[in-house]
Amino acid sequence: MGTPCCCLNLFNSLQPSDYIDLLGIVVNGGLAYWIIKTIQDKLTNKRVLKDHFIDEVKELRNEYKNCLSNLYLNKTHAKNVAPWFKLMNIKVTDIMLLIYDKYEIDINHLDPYQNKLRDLVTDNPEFISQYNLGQPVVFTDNSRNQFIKFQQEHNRLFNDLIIMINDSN
Amino acid sequence: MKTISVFENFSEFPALRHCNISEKSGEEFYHTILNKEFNEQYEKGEKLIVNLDNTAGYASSFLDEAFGNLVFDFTLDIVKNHVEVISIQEPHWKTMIENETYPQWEERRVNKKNPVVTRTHGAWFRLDKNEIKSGIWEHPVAA
Repeated sequence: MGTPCCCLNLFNSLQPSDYIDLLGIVVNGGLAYWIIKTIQDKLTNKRVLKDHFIDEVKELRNEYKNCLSNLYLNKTHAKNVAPWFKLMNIKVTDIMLLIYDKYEIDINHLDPYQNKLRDLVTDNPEFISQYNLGQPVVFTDNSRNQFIKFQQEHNRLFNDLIIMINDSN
Repeated sequence: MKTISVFENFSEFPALRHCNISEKSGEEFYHTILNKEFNEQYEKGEKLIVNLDNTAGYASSFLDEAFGNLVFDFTLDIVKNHVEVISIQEPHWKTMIENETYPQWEERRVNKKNPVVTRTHGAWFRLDKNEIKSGIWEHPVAA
């Protein structure tokens, strides 16, 4: 029962300058809360977006990995190759455009996968000679080694891209 | 100015370089469509626009053979001034044709390394001693 009386005494004893100080504390506190919340929201948004792009890049990597695996295992039909690369190129270009807009990362970063790999397959002698057979292309050991070599040389492009997205401001 | 489309005027499924390895090859596209359409626009002093979109996709050899033959028959300068390649879906093809196919086939033309045909084609147009002539300029080489 003594508390309200004590508060009343406290407020009665405050000078106008104390009220100004009190108001300053309240305003500063509010401002600090707003700044922290805004920054936190922005950081959270940035992180969510980065994670989204990183997931997209991982998905692209898996699709190319499956493509190379099918080539190596002689499971690829020649006539499906150009349509598959077209769809992938549209998908990759779309994602890389967004990544470029957001993080200024080279839009042609995955170019070897978009063009060099396609040419490696469509200019391959077994691919050409078996194009009309309507069966999966049987590649020689030499050709299959070329696919492995391509993967060894270029696989890091995906990890490089993930690191660049992650490290961007 | 006229626009032709590989999809509408030729095939949804363009294939490989030569007629002897696939139907709907770059060689076939050149000899049945591109050479005649280009010549018609060139003689009118106009531009031919070639739209690459809406097909199921390309092998680079198809486009190299088609546009390379055009450079071989009409020279690089003329082709550059009278052809515009467009592709919204796959803009890298335009870059490849202009930066790789055109200069490589111009060099081939200068060095008189004639194109290979794998089927007998009807007469087609070629710039010969500064004059457009129609003829059967190349014949399939027996294997």
